[in-house]
Parts: sequence; structure tokens; C-alpha cells
Amino acid sequence: MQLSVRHKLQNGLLHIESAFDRPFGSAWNPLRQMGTLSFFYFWIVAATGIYVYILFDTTVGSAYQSVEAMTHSPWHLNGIIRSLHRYASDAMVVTMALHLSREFIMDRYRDVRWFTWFTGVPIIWLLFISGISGYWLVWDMLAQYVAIGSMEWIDWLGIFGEPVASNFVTPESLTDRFFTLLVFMHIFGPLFLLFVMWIHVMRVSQPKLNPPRGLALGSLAMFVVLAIAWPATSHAPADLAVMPTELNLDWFYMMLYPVFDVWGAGPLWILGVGLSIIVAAMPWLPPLKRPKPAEVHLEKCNGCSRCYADCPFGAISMEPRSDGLPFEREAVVDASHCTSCGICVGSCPVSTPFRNDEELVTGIDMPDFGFKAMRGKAIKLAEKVGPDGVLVVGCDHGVDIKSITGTGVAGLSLPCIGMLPPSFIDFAMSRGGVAGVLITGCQECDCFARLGNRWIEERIAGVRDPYLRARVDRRRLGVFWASRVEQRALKAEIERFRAQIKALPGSEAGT
Amino acid sequence: MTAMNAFLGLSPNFPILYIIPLAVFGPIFLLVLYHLGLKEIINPSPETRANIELRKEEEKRQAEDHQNKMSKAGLDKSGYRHAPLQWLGQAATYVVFAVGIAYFSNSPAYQAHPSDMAAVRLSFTHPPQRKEECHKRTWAELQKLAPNMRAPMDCSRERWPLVVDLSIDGAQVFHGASVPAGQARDGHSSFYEKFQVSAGRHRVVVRLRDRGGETRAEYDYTEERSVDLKAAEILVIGFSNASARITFTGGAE
Repeated sequence: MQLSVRHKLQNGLLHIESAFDRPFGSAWNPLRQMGTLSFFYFWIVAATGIYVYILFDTTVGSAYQSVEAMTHSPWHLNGIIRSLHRYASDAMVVTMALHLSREFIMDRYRDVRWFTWFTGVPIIWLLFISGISGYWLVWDMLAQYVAIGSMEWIDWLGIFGEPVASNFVTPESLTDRFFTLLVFMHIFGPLFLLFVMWIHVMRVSQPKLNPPRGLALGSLAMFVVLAIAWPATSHAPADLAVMPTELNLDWFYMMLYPVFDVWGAGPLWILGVGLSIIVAAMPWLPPLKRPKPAEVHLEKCNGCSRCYADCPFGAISMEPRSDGLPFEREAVVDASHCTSCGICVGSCPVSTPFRNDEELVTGIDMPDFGFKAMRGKAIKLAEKVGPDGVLVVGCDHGVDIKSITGTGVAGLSLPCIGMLPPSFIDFAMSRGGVAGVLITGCQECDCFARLGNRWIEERIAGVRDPYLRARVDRRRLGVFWASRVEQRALKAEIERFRAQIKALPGSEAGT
Repeated sequence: MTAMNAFLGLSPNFPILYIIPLAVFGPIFLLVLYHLGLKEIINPSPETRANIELRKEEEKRQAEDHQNKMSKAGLDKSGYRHAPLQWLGQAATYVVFAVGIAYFSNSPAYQAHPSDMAAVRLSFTHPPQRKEECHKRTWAELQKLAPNMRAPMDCSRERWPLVVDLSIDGAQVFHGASVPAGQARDGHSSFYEKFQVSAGRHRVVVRLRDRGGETRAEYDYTEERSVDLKAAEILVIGFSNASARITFTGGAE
């Protein structure tokens, strides 16, 4: 089968992530935490920024000296804080770029996710504004170069009566009042950035904003060691009577300044705005074609709100009852927010397969691959593998289930593993007659539908409704998360699981 | 003050004594805040404290219950322990990331301006002359106007474009016109241009026309100067509206 470029990129990325799983474990894998790390780095930058601001002198004449005093302070404490401020902001550019690239490669930006992607575009601009405006305040030769370049770039728009860059023509032309304006830009830029970051995650249900503690502590320790070993320093003080010549640019924030020197302001505006428009329009280039959204069957819905609590994209709301049945509320699906993951089907307590085909209607269901079809398919698969066989239930985004089927192993693939009602596991073992059920799906912390593998684990453990019945023999139930490229690991796990079942009393080998 | 600044590791110019108002009004502000509600957070009433304790206990119980059940199901990850080799792998990853951050944070060096070149900046803002001369209104003309509109001078708003011509060592390096700012073109005209020149002596001629735009050949202001520019030095050519003349800043005569 010919793989698309995106599919190849996805496989490449999954292999890299798999390699990172080895030292970090899947929960701490930094490649799956780029968004949360960006948030964490923002807080480091904000906290150190407040400290630095207390020691910073906001006048043109003394700004440089105050930063130098910080850098060379006794015990180097202030210098460490300054370095933390710089390095965490640099790292935020890296994590943001990786986060964006990853979401693009994994195709997690189209359809319902358009809002999060779209609001990510101003975050890029605001992060650069925040970072670059910080460099102005050091007021060294680098600041002079960056400030004049930035102002010349803005002046190209012709929105100001006089060129803003003319404030930097002679030492006398740069006033304390104007410099204070630059300070305010560096304060309000990050505040606005935080505001847009909040909007960015607003439409995501239960957004994960903090990285795992181990990863947070690890990267904080990394910054502290880096700040001690390689402290951030300034260039010579700014002198508007001379041109800055050789500069040590912060390439994370200033990679476009050399381009500006060569191309000029106009082409750079076209590049920046053009790229932003293209990136912002990507969710519709082309739009994602997905199955029909979930449908509520009111005659089976008692308004328990479990689907509302479990939906990873907030597509379900609980509204006053409209059909006269004696329940207070009913579930209502907002089709524009629904990703058709089916997690709501798995959360519905009415989704129990222990009923006749005629009665098999659940409270909320997927029109394209519904609960009834799922049950029918599972019964056929169970018949196929026989009483000693294992039913592997996976998802469309993990290991290709077809590839692991063979003698004694049958596979059922769902849009998301969270679609699996726990009673289904009970049904497969007791009525379907399979020897065991192995649950698989996207790697931990990497569920395509965000929360599917977490919910199914909690349902199995009995901490999230609907629970898996206590009567189900847990020794015949396995959970193994594997990304699409970890087929070999899943196969090995299936073999191990089958051997485990065989060894149980009552089994062929275990008897 | 300097000794105090040095002791605290602050810049000698840092106005440490200005902190005094903060030291006086800060506690007053905090006192007001305390009585406005901070009290309930810092020193809650026994009732609030009991509620907080109950909530904490309930949260703790729920968390423990969650962990126990997950653990019983064999799905608890909190018990996951990294092997020594894994810690080593993590440390190596952090080192690579940190070195990458530190390196690109200020390397490789960039030559923003050739070290053997100087620069000339043409930068000024000047209101050109009005397109139509003002004329003094006669008594009869003033009488025709409403009483509140009887300004003695009648002036048109639109101004001419400002034309600038810059030659260095006999070669024209810039010639441009700038239309005045504003919808009615009645504001200032501005120029901001920059040029690179080799370090050394140069003959600079600047001409400026603030009436007639490109319809006239002669210039209203001309300044010619021989300047010696060191490498990286900037010569700023401006215009003083106060003394109505072209100015040169930087470069030895």
C-alpha cells in the first residue's frame, strides 16, 4: 500500500516518540508534552520576569547598568534568574514549534480542532513580540540592532505619522518616556499572550495544562544548571552613534532579522502575514471528512450526564427534558464540536450488549458504526476464534488491528478505545466465549480523541462510571497501549497474554 | 545609597531610596487588603477552617480510593519507577536540549554591519510650505462669515510634498519626495533612509525643497560638508525646524 507523505511523517514521528519512551516512560515522554511544557516554561518566564523587573531600571541611561548589576551580582543569584528568564523563553519557542509541527503531522488540527489551531497562530506572533521586546530592554548593542530593525519593520506599514525608528537616530532622540513604552510592551505582550493561551484551550474539555511533575522538575533543573554553567550575558552598551557590527543573535527569536537585512521590510511582511494566513487556513485545506456525529436516542436517555462528563471536546450539553419523560435533563449533541470518537457510547450506562438485537438501542450512538454493529461484529469474531481465542479490541489510530489477527486472535477496531462500554468485555467473555480480552489503542498520553484510553482504564478499575463488573476475571483482561508503529511490541504482548491465560486453572494447559 | 546598592547587588543608579514610599504605603495597602478579605484566606474563621479540612480530607480519600482501585486493576502508573539507565537517558536528553538552547541563544555570530563600513542616516520631520499662500481677509470677507468663523487669515490646508536629494562624493544616492501626513495632506513630511558608505572622508551634499514639489528645479535648503567617518560610525542628516537648516550629527569635519 502506498503511504501518503503525512502517513510517512506520522510513522517517523511515532518511531522517534517510541525511542523517547525508553528513557522517559510514556507518561513523561517530552514529545507528547510540548503544549504543557510551553505553559510551564511560560510560568518560569513570568515568575523570573517579575523578579528581574524589580531590579530593572526603566530609564535609558541606567537600564544597561541595572542588567549588568544583575548579571554580576554577589552569589550570582540575580544572574541565574536572568538566565532562567532567557533560556526558558528560548525553550518556549522550541516547544511551541514542536507542538505545532506535531499537531500538524498527527492531523490534529482540522474539523472540530480548528479553533485550537486557529487561536495558536496569534500565540506565535505574541510569543515573538514578547521575546523580542524583552531584548530591547537590555539596551546593549544587540538591543539597539533589534529595536531599530523592529521599528523599521513596523514603519513600513506607514501607520504612524512619523517613523518610529527616528526615535533611535541619535542618543538624544531616545527619551526615557519612549523607553518606558518599550517596557510596557514587554509587560503587556506576555499578558496578552497568556490571555490568548487561555482562549487556545477554552474549547477543549478538561485541558491538560501542566506537564507531569517529573518532567517539570527535570526541565527546571536543566534550566538552573544551564543558567549556572552558561549564564546569559549582554553585549557592549548601546551607542546610537555607531552601528552594531558583530552580534551574537538569539536565533530562536531573531532568525528573521538577517532576512530583514537582505530582503527589507515589505517582503518580510508578506512572508509573515502570508504564512500566518496559510497556517490559520490549514484546517480547511482541505477540511476533514469524518463520520456522522453522535446521535441521542431520547427514549433510552435518562439524563445521567456521563456522556457529558466524558466528552473530550465538550460537544455534549445537558438541557431540560423535551420529550415529557420523567427525567430532569437530556443529552444534546453539538454536531460542530463532535469528533465522532464514540467515547459517549462507551460512557452510556444503557450501552449494554446483554440484550436482544431488537432492543439494542443505546442512549447515545454513532450513526455510521453504532453499538449494534459493534456487538454483531464482536459476536462473529468470538465465534471465529473459539473458546481459547483472544479478542483484541483496539482503535483506528493505534496498531492496525487487522495486522495482529491470526490463529486464536481476533481484532475489533473502534474509532476510539473509549467507545468500548465495559459491559462489552464481560459480554465477550461470558456470552462470546472468548478466553480473554486485550484492550489496546494509542500510546499513553497520546489518545487521538484525547481521553479515550484514560476513561477505559478508569472504567475497568471501577473509578469511573460505567464500571466493569466485579465478576469479570481480571486475569483474562489485559491492557496494552501501543502506537501504530509498535506492532511488534503488541504482538509480543498478545503472545504473553495468551500464555498467561493458558496457564490459568480451567484453561487447556492450566487444567 | 551607592554602598546600599552595592550590598544588594543593584546598579549604582537604582533609586533604592525611592522604595521608601513603598515601604510606608505598602503595609497600609496590605492592611486594607487584609480587612477587605485577605483575612479570610490568611486567618480563616474556625468554621471556614473546618470546611477546608473536611474538603481536603474528602479529596485525599477520593485520591487514595482512585489510586487503590487503579492499583488493584493493575493500571496504576504512580508506582512506575525509572531504572538507573533510564535516568541516565533522561539526563542525556536534557543535556542535548540544554546545549542546543544555550548555543543558539547566542551563536553563531552574525555580522549585522560590515566592520569596515560607516553609515549615513537621513532622518527628519519637517512641515513643507502650504500649496496656496495665506491671505489676510478683508473686512468685507470677514463680515460674510459667521461670527465664530472670522479668522483673520485664510489658509489652505494642503502642503507641498517635501523633496530631498542626497549626494555623496558627487554621486546621487537618494532622491525622493514625501507627501505630508494626514487626510488633507496638511501634516509633517518625514524621511527615514539609511545608507552604507566606506569608512573615510566623504563629500556630502544635501538639498531640500519644501515648496513646489517636483515642479521646481531649485532647492530651498542646501548643505554641503566634508566629513570623515570611522568604521561603524553613523552620520545623521537631519533638519532643525527651529533654526530652519539642515543638520549633520556625527563624523569629524
